[in-house]
Amino acid sequence: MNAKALLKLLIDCFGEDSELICDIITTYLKDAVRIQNEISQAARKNDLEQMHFWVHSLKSAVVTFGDHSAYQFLTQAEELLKEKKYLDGLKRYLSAEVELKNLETELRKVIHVLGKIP
Amino acid sequence: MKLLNPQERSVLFVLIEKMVGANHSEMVRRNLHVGTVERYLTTNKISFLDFLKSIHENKKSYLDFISMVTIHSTSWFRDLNQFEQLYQLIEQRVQAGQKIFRVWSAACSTGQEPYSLAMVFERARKVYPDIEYRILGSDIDEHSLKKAREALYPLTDLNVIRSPYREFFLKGIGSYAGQLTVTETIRRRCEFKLLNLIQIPLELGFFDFIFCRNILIYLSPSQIRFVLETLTEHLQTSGVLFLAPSEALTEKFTGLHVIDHNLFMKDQKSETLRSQQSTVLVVEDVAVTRKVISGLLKPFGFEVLEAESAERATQMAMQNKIDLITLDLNLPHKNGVVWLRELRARGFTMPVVILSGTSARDADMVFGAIEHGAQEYIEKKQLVGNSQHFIEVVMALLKGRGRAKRRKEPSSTDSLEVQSLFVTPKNSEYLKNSLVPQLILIGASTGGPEALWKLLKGISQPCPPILIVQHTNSFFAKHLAKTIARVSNRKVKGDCPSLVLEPNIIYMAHDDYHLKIKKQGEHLFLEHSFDPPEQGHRPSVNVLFRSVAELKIPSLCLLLTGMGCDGVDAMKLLYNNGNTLNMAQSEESCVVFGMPKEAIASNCVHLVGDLGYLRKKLDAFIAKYNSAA
Repeated sequence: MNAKALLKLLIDCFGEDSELICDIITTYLKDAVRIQNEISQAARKNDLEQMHFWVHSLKSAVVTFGDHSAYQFLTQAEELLKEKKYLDGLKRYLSAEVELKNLETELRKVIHVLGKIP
Repeated sequence: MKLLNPQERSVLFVLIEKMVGANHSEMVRRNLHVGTVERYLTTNKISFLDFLKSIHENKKSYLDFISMVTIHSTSWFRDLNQFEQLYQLIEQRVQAGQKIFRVWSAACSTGQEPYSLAMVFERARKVYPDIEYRILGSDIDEHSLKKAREALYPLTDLNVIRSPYREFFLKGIGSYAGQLTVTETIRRRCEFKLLNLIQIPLELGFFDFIFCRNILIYLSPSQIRFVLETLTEHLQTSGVLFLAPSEALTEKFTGLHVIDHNLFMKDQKSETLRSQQSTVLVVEDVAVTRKVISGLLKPFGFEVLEAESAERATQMAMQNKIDLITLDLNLPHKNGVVWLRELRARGFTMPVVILSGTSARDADMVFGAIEHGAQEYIEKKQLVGNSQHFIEVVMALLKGRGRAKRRKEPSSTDSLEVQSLFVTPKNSEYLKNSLVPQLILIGASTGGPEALWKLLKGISQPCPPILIVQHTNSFFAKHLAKTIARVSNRKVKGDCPSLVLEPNIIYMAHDDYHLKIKKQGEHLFLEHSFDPPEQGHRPSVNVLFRSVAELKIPSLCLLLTGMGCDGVDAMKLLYNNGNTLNMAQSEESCVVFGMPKEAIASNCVHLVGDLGYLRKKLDAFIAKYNSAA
């Protein structure tokens, strides 16, 4: 989803409240970093349960911006981790990370458009 | 005269406040009623204690007392301008297509107000002859109501009546000389009921216009709020409440939208105003999701509190008055289902909306949460994609919460045989006595899973095929089917198209399709249909019920809790067939009283009751089915 589509989605939902939209995006950006750190730590410890928990949380955060590929990869990662398929789950999560990076870039563009450069 | 001492006066004031809701300080200021009671004690030569005993033990004394302490002042066309405003509203609504009206004159005393209202409608009927209307006059005082039903008034009243209303009065002759009454046309449009405004019964129904004038001034602010909330509950959407010009109340106080001086309308704006006093606790560990939920709720006036963990949520629930909770099930350290179970065990009864993902684990947890008292689940995806639905659910649940707070705990036998105001319930007695249903049809929406479990739990006898439409998405439908199979101990089918219907089996949609019944020879088949959603739903209750109505199959039809009006149109068809008994879940037992309310208002329901009552009826009809088999 590109910045234009993201902005439309958010305006449809919250109206033209640029303060609120920027607040939501910046909260997400901070949240995503925190949760990704938690996932990395859990992955290093091979703690599947914690990985599963944090991947689920990350998915919850990402869904704020629609049903896009990062969300799909995270859903698959979550299911695989639940089935204790550590490596497959991790692979999916790494695919999700690439998409998350793209999402972050587009969200920063939205903030830029709204004139609230963090 | 036997004078009451200060202590007896205090007891009297408390008693009056408890029984009729009159404001203590107002009574003290006016020294109202004391003299009347003192005169009564002297005349009847009894002590105050004996007087109290007789009120509790003797119904006549109780009614006499109510009569003594209520105010009976009323007159024809009091505040005439409001009757002109009513006439204009009737005209506007008739021009917009409305033909049937219900009006409630609350605290009508000796009946002049309801009869005046009927005269306004008769005036309108001269221009719009298709209008149908009924006026309900209610009062707390049986003596006043007796006078209202007699409709005999002093002839001198006619001096204040102007054209065009004079023609609705008749002068008495013979033994009625010097008296005045209203024409038969007016009289038969009005009915009178003994009702206390602080204990309104559930079955009163919904009204287009409510007149409640010169009553609130005698009540305390908390009682005024309570009465207004009750009256609002009984207003149709777009219904108008008329208060007296002297009762200067604000939009914020009434929670209703002011359309003119002391005319209040129940509309979307008023729903928003009413939500302003509600606090929602958002329990969610992901900060951005908390922000999204708050961002959606705050513009509607909700106060939003946020908790990022189960521990914090418990703390906040203990320290604040929370009206509704949105709950994420995937919380750190403690999952949401466990937390909800603990919350309920502590006695918290506020509605809970689950916000979930769509993994298999999510679905299991969602149904676990519903078993522990969550009312509705919404996918997190919908928060941004379909936020309107989320807001509607929250508002509907809060509305139900308001109802539940002011109503008694229903007993399993609470029921109502619906007496329509405009039509006689069709074949009601015949159906109750002789119906042997070939199918059991159930439609449900918000709050439906919990209601279905209660209704179907442990059905042990052989029974006709049970067909269920529960509004849900395709992901949750499969899990719901599994849960219903477990709870009811029955097979649940519906995932294959073209199934022959068999007894003892429950059928429901497992995915995004409608269910329809077809007949081939002697057999009934269940078919999947991919027709467009009806009223936004697929599966739709209307589609299933309509397919049964078209085949004229004798059925038992139940419409349970839910928003909107899906199922109502088809229920009318079933009703008109005359071989289906239609039942609806009662207001106080519904999580959201939407679909059943619309069905009741459409006069196509034979019986209304809580889930215990509906289950009893269901068992009785299943027994009949078995003995016929």
